[in-house]
Parts: sequence; structure tokens; C-alpha cells
Amino acid sequence: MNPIKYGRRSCEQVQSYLDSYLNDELSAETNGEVQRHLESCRNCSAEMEARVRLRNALRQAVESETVPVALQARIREQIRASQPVPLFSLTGGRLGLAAALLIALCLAAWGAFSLWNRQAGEQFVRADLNPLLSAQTTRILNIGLGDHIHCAIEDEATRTHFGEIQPRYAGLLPLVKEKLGNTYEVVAAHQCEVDGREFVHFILKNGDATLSLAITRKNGEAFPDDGRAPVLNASGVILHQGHSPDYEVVGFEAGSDLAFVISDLRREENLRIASILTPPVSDLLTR
Amino acid sequence: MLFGRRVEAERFEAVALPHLNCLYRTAVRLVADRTTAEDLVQETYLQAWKCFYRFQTGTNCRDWLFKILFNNIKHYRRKQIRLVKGTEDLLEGLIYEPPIPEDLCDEDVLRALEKLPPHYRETVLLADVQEFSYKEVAFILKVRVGTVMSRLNRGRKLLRAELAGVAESYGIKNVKKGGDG
Repeated sequence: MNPIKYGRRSCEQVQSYLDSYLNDELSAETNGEVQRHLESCRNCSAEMEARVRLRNALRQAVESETVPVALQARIREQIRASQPVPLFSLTGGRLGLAAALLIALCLAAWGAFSLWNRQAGEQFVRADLNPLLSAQTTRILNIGLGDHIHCAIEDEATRTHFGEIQPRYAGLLPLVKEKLGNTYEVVAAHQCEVDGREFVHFILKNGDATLSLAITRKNGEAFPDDGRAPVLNASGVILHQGHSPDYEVVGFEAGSDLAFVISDLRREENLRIASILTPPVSDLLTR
Repeated sequence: MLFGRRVEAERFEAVALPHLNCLYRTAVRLVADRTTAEDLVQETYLQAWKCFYRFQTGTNCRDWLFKILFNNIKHYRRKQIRLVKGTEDLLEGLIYEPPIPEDLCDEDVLRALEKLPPHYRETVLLADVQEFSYKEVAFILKVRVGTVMSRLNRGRKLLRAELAGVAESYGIKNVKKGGDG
């Protein structure tokens, strides 16, 4: 880079760097050149001082805001409230130490077993919980459930709330709002990728309940028609239902797409919502 | 396991709560009222706590918390009626940098800040007040570094122009900058 020379043109050039100089974002070389110019140019130096003064005034003004004393206490309280209740508050201290320790050991064993189950992928639809479902149906339902867990649950804090959606699926957002807008709020509508598979994903909330409508292109999958599970029908579209320890999943085929309704609602409620959405979603995707 | 959860909560509080004041003071400058700012900050901490198991110790907690906060602010704004302001018209024809009064009080500065369109205001807050780097601001706001630089430049100019309006009311006139460089 050419060194900045002292002169009118140089002042314009230096002043174009002042924002970045103020933020310490210039390379070492450019930073040095700007600094040398400021040391010898009264006008540019005055301009720099004005910018520093403005920034300091801004910092002082913003930091003058008093933070409510109770806010930290409320935050601590809500963190504690999201934890399990400590053992001794349940016993009221009336049981003997040995009995309390025995209870603690049992709970720890149960907790460890649950934790092992979750770590082994047991948060998905499982054969032991859904004996009537075929392995293939279980696998397909878990495609939709995986997107819900990854995007609506695990990535809740940092997901893109609203992003671009391919024209083919764009009509789904107003459709979802029309059908569920009275009771559910659409908090996210975007395209996402999970395990190498692309989804169009709508996330809705009603209080603590979280619900997803997830659509993905078939990759050779099809729900088997083996008569093993009760056939559910929403205006001619066959619904396949399964559940995991924490979630209910309904899946259906819509032309070249697979569609899923997943939530932490009771089974009947998840199915009711799926029944509302399935006919119009299927119509839109198979036009 | 219960004991472990309590230890985890204490660890979360130790790394996250030190940033509470910065988060609140930023939120307050971006939303309609202090109650909303408190709610947004509380929601931010609750979401951060729920995802804490995915947070790697030693990485930048402050960036992460601010990103969650700005996600929440964005979501909050979508529910609000947008007020279209003509503040950016101030930039038209502003060929010189107006002087900055010496004795501005905090109220004047905050009033001028409030007049900035949200995307300029948030960039100025993150870069100038919270001292995030361009790259960090880009991460928090999910924009490119070039966008951060341009918004910061225009935001600072607008702020200065707003304060020049205050200066005029103090009897300080804007004078075109002259002289050699």
C-alpha cells in the first residue's frame, strides 16, 4: 500500500479511515500512517478529537442508565425454577439420613438410566414405544423429528427466525397462519439443513408448547402400506403417527415431499393440528 | 444429578450474569420502554440457560448473549408498527461534519440516539459503546462486515447531525470546514 502523504488529498483519504481508526480496525501499517498524519495535521487531529468526544459522550450517556436492582434476582430465580426440586425440600427433613440416602441413590440410578437412554438417541421414535409401527415408518418419522429437535429445540437461541423460502413452498406460511393463527404464533419460517437434508420449517408457539411443520423432499422414502398400524385419514391423506418419550410426530406424503407435524403436545392435540394442516398442505404441494 | 444441575446453574450465572448491565443498557436504547427491555433480557438469559450445555467454556459468552438478545429484539420488532422516519434525509447534502457541542448532557445524547433508525442505532451501540469489533458486530447482527462499516459510518454521521440540531438551539452555528489538510 502506498504511504499516505501530507496534503489536501491526503486529508480526505485519512478522514475516510477515521471511523476504522477509532475502532482500532486498521492494519498496523495503515494505523501507523494515519497516526503520523494526525500528529502533523491540525484539522484532521481536531476532527479525530471531535469523534472521540462524541463516542465518549455516547458511552457515558448509555452507561448512566440504572439497571433495575431486582432484574438479576429475577433471572437467578427463573434459572433455579427451571431445575428439579432438591431432595430434602421434598422430605421436609423428617426422614432419617439413611432413608434419604436410599431415595437419593434410587433417583440417581433412574436419572443415570434416563441420561444413558437419551445419549443413545432414545429421544426419537422407538419400536418399544410404538410396537405397531414398522421399522421403515419409524425411520421416516424420525426424519421430521430430527429437524424439530435440532432446529426448534436445541438451536432455539440462535436459529434464523424468518428466512428466504423457495417459491414452491412460499404459500405455506400464509396457510399456516390462516389455519392456526388464532391459537399459535409463527415464530420461525425458514429453510434449514439437518444431517445433510434440507427442510422447509415452520415453528409455532403457544405458551410453552412448541410445534413444527417440517417439509422435506423425498429421497426414495415412502411410508409402507403394511396394515400394521391404524390408518388415520385427513380428507383422503393417510397420516402416520408415532411418539418418542418427549414428542408426538405425525407424517404424511404430499407428492414428492414428506411432511411432518411434531410437537410436545398431547397425542390427541398434535393429531388434531395435523388433521387441520394436512389437507391444505397436501393440496398446495401436489398442485 | 440434582447436585450437578445446581453446579451447572452456578457456572452459568458466573459466566453470564456479569454481562447483565451491558445487555440491559443496550436493550433499553433499542426498544420502546424499560419494562420491555427487562423482559427481553430475562428471556435472553432463559434461552441462554436452556442452551448452556452447548456453550463451550472459554469461547466468547458475551458475543453469544448479545446474539440471543438481538434475535429477541428482532422478533419483538416484528410485532411493532414500524414508524417510518425521515431521519436519514439529514444525511443528504451533509458535506461537512458539524461541530459537536462541548457541554452536551446525557439526555441530549440519548435523545439524538433515539432518533437514529434501529439498524444504525444498534450498530453504533455495539461498536461504540459495547466495543465489539466489526467482525463481532457482524456475527451478532448476522450481516456482513462491510454492512457494519457502512451502517456505523452513517449512524455516527446521523448522530452528529442530530446533535448539531441541539447545538443550534444552544446558539452554536454550523460552519463549513475549511483550511488545508
